[in-house]
Amino acid sequence: MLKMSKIGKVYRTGLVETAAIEDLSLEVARGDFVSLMGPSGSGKTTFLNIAGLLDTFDRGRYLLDGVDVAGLNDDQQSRLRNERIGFIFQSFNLIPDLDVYDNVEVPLRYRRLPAAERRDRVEEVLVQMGLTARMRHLPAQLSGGQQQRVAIARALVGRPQLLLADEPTGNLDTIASRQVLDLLDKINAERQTTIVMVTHDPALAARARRKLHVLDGRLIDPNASGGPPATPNAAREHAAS
Amino acid sequence: MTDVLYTLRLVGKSLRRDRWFTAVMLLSQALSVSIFVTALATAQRYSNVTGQARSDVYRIEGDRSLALTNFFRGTQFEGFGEFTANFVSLPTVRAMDATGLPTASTVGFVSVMTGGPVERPPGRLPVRFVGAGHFELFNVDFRYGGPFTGADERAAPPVPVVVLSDALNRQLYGGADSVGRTIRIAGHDFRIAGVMRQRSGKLHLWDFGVSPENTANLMVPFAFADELRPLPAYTWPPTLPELGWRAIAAAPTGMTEYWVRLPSPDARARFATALSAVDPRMRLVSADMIAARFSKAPAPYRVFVILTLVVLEVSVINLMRMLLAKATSRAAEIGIHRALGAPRNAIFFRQMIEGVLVSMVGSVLGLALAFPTITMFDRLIPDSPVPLAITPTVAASTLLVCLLAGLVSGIYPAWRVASVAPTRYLGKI
Repeated sequence: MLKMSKIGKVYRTGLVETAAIEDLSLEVARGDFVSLMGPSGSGKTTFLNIAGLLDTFDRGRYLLDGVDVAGLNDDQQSRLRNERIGFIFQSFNLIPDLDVYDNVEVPLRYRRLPAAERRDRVEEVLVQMGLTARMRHLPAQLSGGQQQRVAIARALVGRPQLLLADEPTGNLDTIASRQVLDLLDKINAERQTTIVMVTHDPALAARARRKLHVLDGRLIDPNASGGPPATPNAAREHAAS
Repeated sequence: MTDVLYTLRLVGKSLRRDRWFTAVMLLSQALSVSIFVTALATAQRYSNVTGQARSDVYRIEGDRSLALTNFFRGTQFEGFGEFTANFVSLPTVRAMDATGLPTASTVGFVSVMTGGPVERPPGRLPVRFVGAGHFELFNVDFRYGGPFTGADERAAPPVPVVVLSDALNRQLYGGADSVGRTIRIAGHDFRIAGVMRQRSGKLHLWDFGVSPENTANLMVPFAFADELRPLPAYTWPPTLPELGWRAIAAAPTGMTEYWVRLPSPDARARFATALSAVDPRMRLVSADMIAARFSKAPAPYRVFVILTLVVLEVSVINLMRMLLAKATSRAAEIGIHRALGAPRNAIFFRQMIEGVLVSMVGSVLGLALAFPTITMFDRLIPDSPVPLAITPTVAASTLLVCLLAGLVSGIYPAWRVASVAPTRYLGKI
């Protein structure tokens, strides 16, 4: 699903250069659930932005579902992002002027689907998320947990193959956090959606099938002694052993 | 189509979110547009008179006084230098009419007389003496009643009838149907036969070159010149007014315009030959050529339009800054749209729509605001010859200029917002 080889990203401020990511190589198979842990400033978000085609990289090669993203222009990247990637942000990132329905519909708008198909898909995902009663509420009228469920609905409505979650429970209480994680588990199990989740929380990271650490822009795989598991099955076997 | 509607919906939400900011942007645009409209309406009054006369109509013109043309150049009387060449002496008119070649003709000169409605004390009243052919030659349309006729002029004694312009009818009778009412000129009573319909906000072709205070909105049959003994407001070469009407009318001094209708080329050629025999300095000039001279407003009005365009440009820069500030305040939202798959051009297009929409709504408000503005402006000019008007041409020109202004003001903020990486916005959340 996702294959990165020796990815490097440097931020330049005047004469100062800061390497956010150095020689990061990673392969995530379709249907995998990967957690990424690391201290603040370790490069987690930069990795997620690059993986989500929201940011560029300076070195290396990145194949998303077999497509070399380096050769794509902005339009093609936007289309790929829209069709294959879903985002879940820590601060939900809902559009405050749009109600729940309209927020969830946004990715489909850019896919130019017919109105009827958009409606069916939005309603389906809102039913799954238990948000039908809140369809015409604005984000400000919802609790944190509900807002994150809307964000997840928006991420899923386009039926992406890859879900990128940046601290998805960072702004939620314990109960809401558990609900969100249960949802992610369910999505991963039922839809075979690949999930890459960035988190600070070890308990949260433990819910993933594969746990990775980022430190100073470098990737550390705790399971690296036996070689990084390449497929969900291999990862399950690795975890069981 | 649905994409455009969706974009408009998002733009509408964006504008409603910052209501006060949007209101300030609209007001700023509306104020500058209203000033621009006033300048355009003023310039329009003194320009573009094409189509007011029939294409087979000619005027007899003499040599131009270059000294006068240069003297008035750049002033609001810019056309007056040209105007001086238009005066023909009455002996010349009589000689040319005697050829029988024109199918219609008219003279026309202005005299400032005393008079007004009988029910009011008399006042200063500029009057234009014209022949009955005037109304046909200039395609004059009537709001009420009709013109006086050749029969009215030829009757013995001539029928005392006059024709008013829309502007004078509004001034004297509040715009009501005044046909049949009486106007007294130099102690003689005249019945109003008709009220001419004025092309909104535009001078008549025959009024170009006449100073605003002498623009005559009352047409009196030329047959009454002998009885009323007017002193022409303009003569060339100048004559002493003390000579009186009879002396001026008999002198070779130019004192009237002389328009003729010559439909056939043969009649035209023969008329030109006869004219050169009567006065070799005179020649025939077509009404279309004369109208073309007034296709542009005099320099001061053009400068006024340019100055207001500068004001509009400042407003465009201001709008650009405000749109950029507004877009920056919505940076997070733009970042979300980008993350969800919006390409750069979608963001650019949305921002452009916002700029154009603000500019166009501001322009429509500006046009509405221009109505009281031009009324106020008109009151500041006591001798305004024709009330300023926002004609379809002025409105369309304004909207076109504002559409361009909207595009210009929207393009930079749109480019800035669309070209920044989405992570920069998302990072702010």
